[in-house]
Amino acid sequence: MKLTFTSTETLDIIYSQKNIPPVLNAILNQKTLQERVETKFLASLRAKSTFADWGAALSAMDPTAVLVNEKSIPLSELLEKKAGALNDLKEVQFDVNGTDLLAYEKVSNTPADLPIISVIIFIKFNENKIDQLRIAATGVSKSAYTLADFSKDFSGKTLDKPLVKTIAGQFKKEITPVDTYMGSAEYRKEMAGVLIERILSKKINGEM
Amino acid sequence: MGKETAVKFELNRSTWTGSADPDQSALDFLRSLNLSSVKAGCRVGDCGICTILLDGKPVRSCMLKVKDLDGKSVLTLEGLEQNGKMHPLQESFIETGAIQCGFCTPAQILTAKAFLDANPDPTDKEIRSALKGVLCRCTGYVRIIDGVKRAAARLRGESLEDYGPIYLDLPDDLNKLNLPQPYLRSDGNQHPLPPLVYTPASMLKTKVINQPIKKVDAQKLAFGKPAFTDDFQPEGMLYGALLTSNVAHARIRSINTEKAKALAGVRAVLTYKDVPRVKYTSGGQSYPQPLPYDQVCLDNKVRHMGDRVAVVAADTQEIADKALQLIEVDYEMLEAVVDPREAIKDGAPIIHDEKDTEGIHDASHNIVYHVEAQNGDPDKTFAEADHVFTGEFHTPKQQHAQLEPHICITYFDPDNRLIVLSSTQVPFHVRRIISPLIGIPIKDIRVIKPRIGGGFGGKQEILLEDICSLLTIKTKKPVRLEYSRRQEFTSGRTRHQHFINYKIGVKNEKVTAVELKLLADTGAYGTHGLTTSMVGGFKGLTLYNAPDSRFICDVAYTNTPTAGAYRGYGTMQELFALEVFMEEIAEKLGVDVVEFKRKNWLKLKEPMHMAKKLGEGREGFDQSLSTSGLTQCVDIGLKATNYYKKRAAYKDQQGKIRRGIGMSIAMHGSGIAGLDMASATLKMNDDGSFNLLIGATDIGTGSDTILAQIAAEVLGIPVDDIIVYSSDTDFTPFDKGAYASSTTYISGGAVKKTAETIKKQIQEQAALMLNYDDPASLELRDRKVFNPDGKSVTLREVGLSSLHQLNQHQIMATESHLSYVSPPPTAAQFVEVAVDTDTGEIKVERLLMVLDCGRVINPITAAGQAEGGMAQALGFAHCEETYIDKKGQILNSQFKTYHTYLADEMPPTDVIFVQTDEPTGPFGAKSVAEISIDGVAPALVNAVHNAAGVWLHDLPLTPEKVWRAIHP
Repeated sequence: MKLTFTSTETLDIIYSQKNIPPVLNAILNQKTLQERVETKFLASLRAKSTFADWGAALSAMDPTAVLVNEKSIPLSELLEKKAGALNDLKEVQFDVNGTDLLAYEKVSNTPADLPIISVIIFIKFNENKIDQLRIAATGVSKSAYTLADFSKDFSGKTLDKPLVKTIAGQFKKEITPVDTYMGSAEYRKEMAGVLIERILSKKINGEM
Repeated sequence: MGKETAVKFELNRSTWTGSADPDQSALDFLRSLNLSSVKAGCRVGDCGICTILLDGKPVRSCMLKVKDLDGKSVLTLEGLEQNGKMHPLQESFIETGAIQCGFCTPAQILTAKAFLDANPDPTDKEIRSALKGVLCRCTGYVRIIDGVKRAAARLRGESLEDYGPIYLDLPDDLNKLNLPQPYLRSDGNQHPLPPLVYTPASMLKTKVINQPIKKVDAQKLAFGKPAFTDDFQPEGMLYGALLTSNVAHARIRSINTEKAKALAGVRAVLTYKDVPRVKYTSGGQSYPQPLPYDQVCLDNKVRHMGDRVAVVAADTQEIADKALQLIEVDYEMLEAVVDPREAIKDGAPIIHDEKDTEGIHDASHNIVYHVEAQNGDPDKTFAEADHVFTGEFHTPKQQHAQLEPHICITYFDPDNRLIVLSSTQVPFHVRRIISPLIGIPIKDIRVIKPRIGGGFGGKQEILLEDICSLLTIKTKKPVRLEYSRRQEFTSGRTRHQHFINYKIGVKNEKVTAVELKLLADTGAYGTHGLTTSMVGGFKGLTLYNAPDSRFICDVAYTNTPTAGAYRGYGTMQELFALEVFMEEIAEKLGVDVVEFKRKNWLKLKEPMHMAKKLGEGREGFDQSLSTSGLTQCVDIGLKATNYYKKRAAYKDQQGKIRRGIGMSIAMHGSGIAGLDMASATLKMNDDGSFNLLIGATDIGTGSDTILAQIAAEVLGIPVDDIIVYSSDTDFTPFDKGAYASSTTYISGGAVKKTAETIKKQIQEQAALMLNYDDPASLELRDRKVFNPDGKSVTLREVGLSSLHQLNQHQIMATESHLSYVSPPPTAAQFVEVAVDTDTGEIKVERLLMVLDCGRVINPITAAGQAEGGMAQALGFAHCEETYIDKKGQILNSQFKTYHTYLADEMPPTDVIFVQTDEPTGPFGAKSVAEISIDGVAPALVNAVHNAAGVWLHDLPLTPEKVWRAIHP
């Protein structure tokens, strides 16, 4: 399914689209009605701390960013300032496949509190084997979110229990979480593993 | 102010054209158009209180500029009414009790309107999600959700039944109790439920009391009419701004205000050099306030981040704020101590090293108060006990987080008397306390309290009134001074952090001796440190009332924001520890926790052993428990939650998500015995209506309404015939103010006495009119006075007669009330949770409070108190803490980082009343406002224990704490 978000449309408009992936819907649902109404898509990408989960999810999905000059680049490159300028974004285009995995889990004090840590996993499968695997997480570095592209490491592998452990372990090694009043670095690291295992185990068990 | 440009937009269905600064905040601009419904709560987009509809969609006006309005359609609450007809949302909010303080009401209603326009038949979940962008600190959102549901039904054209509680008989045999099925929550329903009111057959029937009368101030709040301090700005007003310290402990070596004073538009800059050094304490309590008087208006030393440094008045807020940045302060930095356990050690930095403060217990160890009190011989009894248990507990600094910031406007009236318009809980204390600080006699000060946008104890302090007055005295102009939201966190007050040690001796399953050691953190100044600790000690030793008890308490200064009065007032901290510890002890003894508590809790007629020894800041009075519905509260709660069945089922759960149920009991007080006094005045008018003049301060609780109900019940009239005016030190009689759970009981007592005196006067006048010689036998009902033969005169006729015809005089009375007892309301609190054992997250699935507050004067407003109290308590237990680093910097000083429960995460929150008939209370009433906050924390901890098998002694229960307990 193809999906387009233009830079000038509000998150409220995006939220009201019936075909957006449930994870994106869930993340936007955590924002208030006012925030969704006031915030344009482009502004949401700029406001990295306010929309950290949103940015992380988009990074993990890594849709195509179409610039005003009609040039297309991966959105992650734009967000990481490797190419183009965010102000030049015209729209992003998704090609959402029903077999893709896009999942989100978080740990927070209360359901609506800021996440202490959140994890978004995107896997594109090719005949039941991993083709692309990207994990984005908030609360695990000084920046708003961290994206780990494990596609090279795990491409062609079958997702099973041992691999889930390996992926979680590898992600935990990659991160250097912050230590704040909301949660210690040690706790966040542990939770990164817990959330990754939780998501991937659900996938293996056919619960998603 | 920037350059103005032409602006045109639709405002409340009319076109607005004019010139305005395009970069001005839309919030300030709309308020400048006298749109008083548009409120300022945080000004940084965190609270949603300033919500308006822009092209039909809810937006936060503080996040918009004037230029964002151009060409658009703007709707504020003022535009919601059409053809003089109330919008269904306004009507429903009034009916359901969704309006408490009313400060968030405009934003809630507008957000709901936009939502219902798009979704006319929503689910509860959808309503909660839509409303989560507007904070409410009063209601727990229960009645707001119900109000929106009801409005939606009304908009769909559905017919509605009258809104109100469900009244049921309370049988002697609780096995025969009629408990409606929805209150079991066994079908998973999450709908807001009306309160249940159980009444024993022995209680006399009332007509106005016990009825869900609509709040007397609800209509103006539902319309967003001018009601709050900031809505009454006098002509020529200057804007104040307060410079506060950005360091936790320092001496001011020098302070240079020349650049600030030179800024165009600045009218005054005051520092410690400009104001007299008069010692005082900011806690608004009765005379004499407990020592020490450890504050001055402006000092040459700062003792916490957020402490006062200088204050400015200028022509505009922008200029005043800019002037603050031009004040140069050279600090001599001093070592800070933020942990009270460190503060009391030898060698810790001395926070109050000034020579002119008297009454600090041990300034060299930062111990402001030390209290020891004992009954019997606890050491001997501990030695004789079968078991002695010890436990340590900790509670956090919680913020009041009321939506209306502290605000004050001062000016001189034409008689050169100082008018202080203030959002205060204690107008009479304000007048008395600021008088020496500003050098104006009490007689020349008039304090007026408009509506208050929430207080919860935080406005029982004199925080702005003195310095705002000093600016008016200096400039001779009206001045407005308001805390920023950040200052609310850094300069306002918090709940006292408590470190609690309990030692409990048990013999034959009876608690025979208790020792309670308390270290309380008062922050930089003493204010309520003594009284909260003594109250906590009293309640913490009285709920189980061991005959041999000891209280040892130190209250420590730290370089942190000052703690003050906060709903629960010491009691909730100690009851948290006690109620968790009693459950732990029961488990260790292998006995049923409910039965263990039942065997030990304070019984009817039992003298309270520590009542005389632990008064509030002084010796107390002997008291005993004259009424208690605690047994019924517990047993009904057990039934309504299916406690034992769930408890057993949850005992040995496997899996990652585990459920638990916990309970606790609580008692509080009703006013301060033998100290706080209230009075009331009633005056009859020509038409048989009455003016009720009360100094009692309605801070959103609905006290104006219930006091009117008390008067109306005595006089046999509807509440509509009573015009309530509160609180104004010139025109209303003295009342200590809204604190200590005293208004219903103490102020209500004054109103009842006054109404009874008026009744006698009416009877005498009517007897003359009816030519009847036994006035006392005349009956007042239905706006008439009847003699036993059935002959009657109307109250209108009595009013006209007394003022114009016969025995001409004003029917009018003032009475005062003081009580030497403080009868405790009692309650049982139940909490159900799901615990994620992998992450430590807790999801709270249900709150239920079964509550004996005596006779319930107004079941809807009382339920609102209980629901809101539980919501605040849930924050205290689960997620709210003011985090302060070692240097005294506050790490979470905005709503974004200091999270309070939102509409979409509050669990079903139910209230059941068990009425008792307190003989000393007005129509049998006790208090309700504070007991509602006491039980949630221990019940939550006990529920988590039931789910996950771990005991947690340190609040709040963050995921990491829970996780570490589960995975040691």
